[in-house]
Amino acid sequence: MDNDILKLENISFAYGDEIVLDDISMSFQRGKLIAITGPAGGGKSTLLKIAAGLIYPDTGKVYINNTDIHSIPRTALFRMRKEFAFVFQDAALLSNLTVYNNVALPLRYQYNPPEKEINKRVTEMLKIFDLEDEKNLLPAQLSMGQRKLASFARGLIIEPKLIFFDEPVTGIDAIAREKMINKILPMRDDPDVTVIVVSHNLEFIKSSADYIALLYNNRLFTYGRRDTILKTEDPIIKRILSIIIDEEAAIAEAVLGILTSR
Amino acid sequence: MVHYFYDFGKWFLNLVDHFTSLCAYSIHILKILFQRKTGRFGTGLTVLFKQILFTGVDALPLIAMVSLAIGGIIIIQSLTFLPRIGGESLIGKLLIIVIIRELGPILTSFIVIGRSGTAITTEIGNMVVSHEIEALEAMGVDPIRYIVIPRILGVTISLVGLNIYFTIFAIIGGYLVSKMVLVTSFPVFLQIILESMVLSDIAISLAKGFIFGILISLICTFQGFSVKLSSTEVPRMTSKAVVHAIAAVFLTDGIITFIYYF
Repeated sequence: MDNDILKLENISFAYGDEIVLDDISMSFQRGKLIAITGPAGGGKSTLLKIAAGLIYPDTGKVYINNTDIHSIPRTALFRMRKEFAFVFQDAALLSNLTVYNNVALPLRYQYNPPEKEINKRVTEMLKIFDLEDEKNLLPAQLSMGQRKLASFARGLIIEPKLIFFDEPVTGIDAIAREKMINKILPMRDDPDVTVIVVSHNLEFIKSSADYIALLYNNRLFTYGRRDTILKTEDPIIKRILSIIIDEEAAIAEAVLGILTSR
Repeated sequence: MVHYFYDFGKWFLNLVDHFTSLCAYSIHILKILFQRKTGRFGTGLTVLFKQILFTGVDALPLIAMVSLAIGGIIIIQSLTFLPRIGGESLIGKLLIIVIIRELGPILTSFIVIGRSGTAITTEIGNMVVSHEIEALEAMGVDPIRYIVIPRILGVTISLVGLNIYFTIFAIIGGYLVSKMVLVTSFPVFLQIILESMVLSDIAISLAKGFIFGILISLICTFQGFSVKLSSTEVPRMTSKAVVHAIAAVFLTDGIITFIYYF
């Protein structure tokens, strides 16, 4: 069996005249945690959405389990999504549903088990994410950290084999960040689960990633094992990593500013 | 002079582009309607019931008020004008033509556009901006099946129901006014109405309610999905939805009336 769960071939994408991704090819090994990082505006989130089949690339192909996901019928793609989850940067919970119903939705829609089983599994999931007391609240009543945790719980309820995270630890408080990291890290131990994370947070990447993909100037600058990338002596890679650290510090400072001004 | 032609050409091409996009959207929905289902029926059913509750049941008091007033006004106008030309016997027929065939479906449509059409466009537009639509797709929940089809069915069922309700209350309004002036008993008044009514009046009224319901929901959901990047697009698309839906209702009403009489 091919050990690559996901392959990107010559992906290019532009918003109007602005090129966001330029001829990116890479493959993602099953059972690994792969971090995609790079300076802001480098097209990381767009690449993640293209990989998940949420955006169509201008050119190039995306294969998940050797299936070109952009050439199969819509219904087939929706069925394939039983196998993977996407956790959005801004959580993207359905604003008119309670936390409980948000988490239950993919389970209800994709598998349609009896309501008793839904209740059991959702309650279990909410307990894992410390969201039992918030289960009847609407997303607007939660903090951003809680929203992200609920979004994570919603993704995990269908026990996916491939999980996409868009900036899971950015813009949230320290407690939520720790909870988030503590939920992501054990996934590395499951050989059937592949995690692809877009992140700015090098500390998180250092502690969690098996592989790192570095995007720079809309191209895949380098892609390899974590230690190879982080311990490199290549001055350009070092420079790019320092830009990322500066940006992360600026984001953290901005978030802290917002939190303390409240 | 040339720029007038340029502006007209641009406006016309935009119109054609918009119309063809709406047609493509409608065909896409039809295709999904007949495709093998990808998810659970119950989740869409809940949305359908909520839509009927909001569009149909919640609109009952407003429809009752408007229809009672319209029925009364038509009788007052008829009683003032028709006796001058010896047309007292036409009061029943006039009420039938004006209320059942024309005003019932049109005024009900306007109320539905104002209350529910705008709400649908705003809701979907906001869902696009907050990535909720993307989140649905990522979960394998088809937004057309989960959001659009229940709304089309909900608005159409509600509009047909409200149209019948409007007619009944307009006749009651007409009766209340005629009772004051003519001291007519309700059975006599009802008999005049029933004698003036033919089956085609009811069929046309119901057909109009059905067609207007589909048109309004199609246009309003389409405009909601036309929001792309910013929340400032939402009010713009909502007002577009209102204008286009009203235009579509009038145009279709004219075509149906033309076909019936010629």
